[in-house]
Amino acid sequence: SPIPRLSWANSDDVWIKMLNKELKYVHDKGYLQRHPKLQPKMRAILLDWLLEVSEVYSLHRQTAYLAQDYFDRFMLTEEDKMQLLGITALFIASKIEEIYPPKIFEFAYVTDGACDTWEIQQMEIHMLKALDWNLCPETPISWLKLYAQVEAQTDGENFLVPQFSQ
Amino acid sequence: MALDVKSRSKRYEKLDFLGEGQFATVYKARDKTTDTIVAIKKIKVGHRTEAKDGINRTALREIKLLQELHHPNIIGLLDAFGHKSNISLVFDFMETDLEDLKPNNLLLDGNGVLKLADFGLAKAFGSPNRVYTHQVVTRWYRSPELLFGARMYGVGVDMWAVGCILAELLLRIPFLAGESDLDQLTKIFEALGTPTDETWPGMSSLPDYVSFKIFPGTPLEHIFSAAGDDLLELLRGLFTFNPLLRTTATQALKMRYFSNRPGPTPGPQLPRPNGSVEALREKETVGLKRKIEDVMMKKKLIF
Repeated sequence: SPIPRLSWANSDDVWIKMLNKELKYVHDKGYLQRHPKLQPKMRAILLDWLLEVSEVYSLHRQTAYLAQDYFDRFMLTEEDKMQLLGITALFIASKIEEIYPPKIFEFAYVTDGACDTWEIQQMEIHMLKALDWNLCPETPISWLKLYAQVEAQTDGENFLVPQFSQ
Repeated sequence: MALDVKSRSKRYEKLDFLGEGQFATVYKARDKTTDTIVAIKKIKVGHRTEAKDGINRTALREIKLLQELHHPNIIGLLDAFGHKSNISLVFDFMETDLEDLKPNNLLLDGNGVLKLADFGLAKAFGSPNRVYTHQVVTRWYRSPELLFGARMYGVGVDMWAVGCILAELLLRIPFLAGESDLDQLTKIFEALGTPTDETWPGMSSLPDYVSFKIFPGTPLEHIFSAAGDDLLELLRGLFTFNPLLRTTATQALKMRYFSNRPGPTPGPQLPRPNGSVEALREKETVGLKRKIEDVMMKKKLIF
């Protein structure tokens, strides 16, 4: 493993686990080309909006990036209802990642009438099935976290090291 | 793409009802595709207000953790399928009965291999400085720092729970069975003595700290009179109030208790539960009846 020794786990285990995750969670690079109606710009707008919603509800960054992964993998099979897909992905990601996830009506609210709670609920089960319940990919945030922890060991003074008890 | 619920439920043939918990009902079933026996945990939809928030979140998190964890001592998640707000999880079937870290979640398979089950509240380790929810462990197994409302805590909470489980194995009844969070702390301090800011620095600055009567505590060798010195040493380490000084799993495994004779019985040689789940349940019912008859005075009410 290229990762140096970690204080909280065996670095080989961490490295292998993260690489296997990347192999398991496949993202099709060509999906934007295969959906003629879907412009790359539309995806960018949606993801920007999901980050805004995450900020409003004080969600963790990891939550937004999980939602992005769900959205991208789901788009392999579905093409319209972009906002509904996006907000549902964020709704699922919140339940996975947050301690106090916002309620479903709060997700519906930020769509300003584009989606109601019933539609989100229907989409949720549809999406979970399409993703085959695989909801824990590595995200840019999880990689960044690892790099930060590695960096913290070489340069202990400047980084906040994990502390577990108080 | 996942199969729809109809073909999934056709794949599994329900054989028996195994049990019911707060969040789920568990059935024994046969997987017709592989001809193996599995346990299906059907997550309850809950009442309407919960269903309104879609798929039960505890179930989602349990799926997440079980997909991440592959270990010979952790129960294997074989399949998950859902319909509307229902989720069913398919697990390896265990001989001991199914449903934090408490004796009910420690299962033994047919070869006597221990399996941990129920990860609904488990939290992935390694994220620094995260504020965790403090309602995590079933009260009887909850560490004093959690009961005092600590939001930053570590693996020490699990080691406290391990201590409580070990104590329960020795006593055959829960060691510290508090009826409320305050009562739990009282029970802990009565048994182990009230900690001070010297023995546990930082205790009084925890969010829900309240000062308690000073109990002297009972020496552990009096509570666990059958335990040897090596086991008492382990228990003392696990029941250390200061979470930073509490024995860790790695330290515990290096303690004398785990190397002293006699060694553990090999899994396949462990005694097995007698007969079927139903027979066991019947036995329990009989036991319960006897308990009620013993404890309560029978009386015929006259109106």
